[in-house]
Amino acid sequence: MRGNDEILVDTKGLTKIYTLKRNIFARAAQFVTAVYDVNFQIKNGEVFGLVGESGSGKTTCGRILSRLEEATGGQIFIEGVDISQLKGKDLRRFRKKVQMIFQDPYESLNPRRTVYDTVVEPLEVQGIGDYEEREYRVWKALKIVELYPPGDYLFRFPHELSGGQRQRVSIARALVLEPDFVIADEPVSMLDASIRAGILNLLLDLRSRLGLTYLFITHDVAVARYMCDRIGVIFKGKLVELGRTERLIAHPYHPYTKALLSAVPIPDPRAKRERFRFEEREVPDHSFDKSCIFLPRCAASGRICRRESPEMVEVEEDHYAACHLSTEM
Amino acid sequence: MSLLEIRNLTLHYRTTNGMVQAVDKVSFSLAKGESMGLVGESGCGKSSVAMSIMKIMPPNAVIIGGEILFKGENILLKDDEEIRRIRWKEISMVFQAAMNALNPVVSVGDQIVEAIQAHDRMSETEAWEEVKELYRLVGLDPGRGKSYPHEYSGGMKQRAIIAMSLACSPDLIIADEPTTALDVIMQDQIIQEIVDLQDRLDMAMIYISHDISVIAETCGKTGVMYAGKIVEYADTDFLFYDTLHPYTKALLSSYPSIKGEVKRLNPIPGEPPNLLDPPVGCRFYPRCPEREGICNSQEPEYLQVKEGHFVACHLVKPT
Repeated sequence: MRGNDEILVDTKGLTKIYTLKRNIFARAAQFVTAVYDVNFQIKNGEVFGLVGESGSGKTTCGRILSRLEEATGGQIFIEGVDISQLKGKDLRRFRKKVQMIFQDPYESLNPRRTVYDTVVEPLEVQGIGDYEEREYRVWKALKIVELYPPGDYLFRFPHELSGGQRQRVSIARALVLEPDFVIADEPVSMLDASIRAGILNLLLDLRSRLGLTYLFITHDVAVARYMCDRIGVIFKGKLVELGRTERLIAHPYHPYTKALLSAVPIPDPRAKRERFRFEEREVPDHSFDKSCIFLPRCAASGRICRRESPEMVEVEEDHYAACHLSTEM
Repeated sequence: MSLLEIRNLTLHYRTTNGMVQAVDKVSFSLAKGESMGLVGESGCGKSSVAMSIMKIMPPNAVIIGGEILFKGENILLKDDEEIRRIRWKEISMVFQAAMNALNPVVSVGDQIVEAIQAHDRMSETEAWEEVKELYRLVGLDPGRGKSYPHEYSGGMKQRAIIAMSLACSPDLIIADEPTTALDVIMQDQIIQEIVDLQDRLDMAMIYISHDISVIAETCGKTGVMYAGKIVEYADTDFLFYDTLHPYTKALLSSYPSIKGEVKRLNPIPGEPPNLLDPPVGCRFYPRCPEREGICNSQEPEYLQVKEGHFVACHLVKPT
């Protein structure tokens, strides 16, 4: 729970490089670096947010952590055990502890399966309990996600549910195994505001009730602020800043974080925003590059930015930024 | 006289399950150069209103009643030929997915030239000059006109679409979720561009979005739609600071912000009603935290309760 500073998840140098198939136009194989040397730790009971734009690699991070995708390099420790090489039985045991909630409840549920079939499946795969035990667990999971009374929902199909209810079914499916760690990948981006608020509150309540730890992946900074204790900002596959939510939002160090935060619209017609601008230029694939990843867009770059890729340094307590100039500002 | 005046617009969609009452007695007016936001959740009818103004509704749409007066003439009564002259030249529209509608095998500039020449008698060279001017206006490099859509980024394509929508200097521009597919930073730049152009060119604008924070920053006036009806309409500042309708209040308190203190969000219980068979009384009744007996049986009237502030709620009395 909160206050317990024990580290649950620890990534070291997480990297994912995709190789594009060679074709008649491209003679040499081409590489796309989706995630590059990403390090972060998530404490027990914490909500850790990964924030970035589309294509920044935030989803890939989540998929690697849940072992849906193999990392090209780096290690992932969960409770001190390296899970990046788990196979067979060990991998199945790992899946019991780490579950994922996906973005689109219209696509992540099988349209031909009832709510019961969908939620019971993880129990069947894991071989947990007999029929009665499973039914009880499904019932409990539906109650937890506030689909109440569960009996009304058990035999419905996804098309008979609204978007919010579908996402609750996805959450029930993730929680039925009673995991410790839940990876939520844009769980509310397909939902309307009035429904979204309910799902966010539910996730927060479940955290305190069940002692869950979340990796919360989102492009929406306002949602991240509402949900997360700490936030990591990811740009083109690299973590550029990481810190406690309130501090990071009030006092960002990295120019990309500044630009991102200053672009978020505020639901208040009297609010005035200072915009932090940057150049709109293509950022080339960087895995073998020796300069700062943000250089092509940065308005403040110095000579060192061209020569060296900046490391994450602690700019203040529990706040890290990967910018050569962050210490001078 | 208002540039645009909509009176009691009612539109249904014919489906195999019956008539979907998508837009119900919607009324508002817009003066020259004014900007108005239309905000609401998916399925509330905001896009249907926009499509009616351009008269580009899907074939199963049926106008049940009401009129759309543009410069005093009812658009709904015009035939195809007349409406074609108004579209683009006087009213233009930027859609959410418009950037995906660019023809991939024709250069972007040529597509804009085509749009210009369809409405204005202009030589190829003059039209290209115009394209360059438009590119400068929306912050694109005028030299990129000959490039093809795949050579543009998402933001650039959306800018080009905006350029195209401005090509014939319309009096009214309808922007239907023009930035929803874009990333935050790009969205912010495009919105600024639109607001700036709207102001500089003195166009009237209807900006449609599900996102109240975007509307808060872009529009002088705001209409809130729920289940096919406008439930509240006012100056944007009043709408946010002197909120009267329970749905608007609920919507505002369900939005997180990166400014101010973090307050617990208030979801609205339940779901919007099925418009095949909407509630008899107030359409928000089943979810309303402030409902009373009368709300269930009688439809609230859409009334002006204060200067320029319209509300459809039994609990809000004119002052």
